[in-house]
Amino acid sequence: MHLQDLPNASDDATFFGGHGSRPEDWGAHIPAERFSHLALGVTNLDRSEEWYRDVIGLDVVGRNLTAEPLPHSVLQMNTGQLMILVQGREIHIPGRSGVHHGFMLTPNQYRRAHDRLKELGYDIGDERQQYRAHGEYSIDIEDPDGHRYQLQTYGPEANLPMPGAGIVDCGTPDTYRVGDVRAFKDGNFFLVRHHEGFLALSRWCRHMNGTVIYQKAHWHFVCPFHDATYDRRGVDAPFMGNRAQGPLHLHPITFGPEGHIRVDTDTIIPRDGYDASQAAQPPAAELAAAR
Amino acid sequence: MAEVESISHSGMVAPDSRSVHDWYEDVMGGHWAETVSRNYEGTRGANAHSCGMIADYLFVTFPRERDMPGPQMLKGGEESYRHAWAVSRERFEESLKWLEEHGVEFEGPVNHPEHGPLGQSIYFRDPGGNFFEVCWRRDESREFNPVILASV
Ligand code: FES
Ligand SMILES: [Fe+2]
Repeated sequence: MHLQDLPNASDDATFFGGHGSRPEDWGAHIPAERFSHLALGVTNLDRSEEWYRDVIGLDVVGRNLTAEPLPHSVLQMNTGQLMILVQGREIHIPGRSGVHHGFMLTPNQYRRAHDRLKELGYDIGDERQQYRAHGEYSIDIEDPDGHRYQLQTYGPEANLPMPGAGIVDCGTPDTYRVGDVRAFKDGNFFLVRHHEGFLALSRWCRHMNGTVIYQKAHWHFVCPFHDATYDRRGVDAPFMGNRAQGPLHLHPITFGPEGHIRVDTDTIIPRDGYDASQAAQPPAAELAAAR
Repeated sequence: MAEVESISHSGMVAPDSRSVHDWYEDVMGGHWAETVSRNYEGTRGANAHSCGMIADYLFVTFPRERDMPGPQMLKGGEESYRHAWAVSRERFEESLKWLEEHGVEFEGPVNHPEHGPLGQSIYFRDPGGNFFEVCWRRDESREFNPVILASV
């Protein structure tokens, strides 16, 4: 169930790239510094060249530009990666083996592909839609020979937490001791009491919007998806390989007239790190501190 | 401009995906990612299979036999598909040596026509029988959009 059918408009390169991995952590190596091209067998070169150009939207560079002895066509993507379609005699398409290739599009390219394919009469489906996270989009498509593809993108909204649950009443401050971490299902946040005051931490992981859990024994938050780890202030732990791309977002906290803690889950406060001014002190405590 | 930025990943088959991914690490300089797909296409799409990166390309490997031409054939793909990586022209020779040292039998190098995008290529297979190619490219100094892999 997608919250929306199409990504929000953007020409920016996709945020996640579909990998969630960071090769810069281990560097580029011989004999493979970067991906260059996918060579693909087709049974009818004219038909396939036209299909990859008009349906997928690749640029045709030209025919027979490589040492490939069979007739072939070279097509290009914006990163310089190539598809080389080779006129084969017999194409072997594995059955339901999971073999497929993924094209990465910007959100706007995806929006245009969506419209184009619909107009061309394609059934725009996504086999794994029920697994996708907020902001991830994918269309399954087969070429004229039955090679399977995904057209993928990540909308800018993938970067934003899901809509919240409005204002959530979290009870009165005296029910929390310093060090307490309480999870709220409505609005997906944790309320944490520190010496400096309260923090309402969004549960959406800063890697790819997994929902973090609190590990009491270890005094930290961890994301079950790819193990991003955050301390109790929601700050990403500084170890190499931590997938977190920054601290957990905050929600603003106000105190009701009867002293109730009110968390506004519809509002997000992004931040780069922690400082004590982020913590909300209940008025009574402020008073006590002032005394 | 094309309407596509890049090819990002492939689902592949190999009878023993763990050993294939080890080989990707040891020989191709790749990186083992994890054993479920939650990374590659959805944080909630956790299927049990192997997943690894070679440079900026991600593979998900399904533990099945790839039904294809005999193992003596080093160059192939016209009956299905072949993945090719580039190294800089400078490091091409070194790459061939590296593969030799790691016991990889390859065909080539072959020279590509001068008016095309490729310089030279060699062809070989992974332990699962998949067709691989390593090349250098004549357009290596041209500016293209960057391949984006993860959030920045
Ligand atoms: S979503 Fe990847 S670590 Fe949280
Ligand atoms: Fe995929």
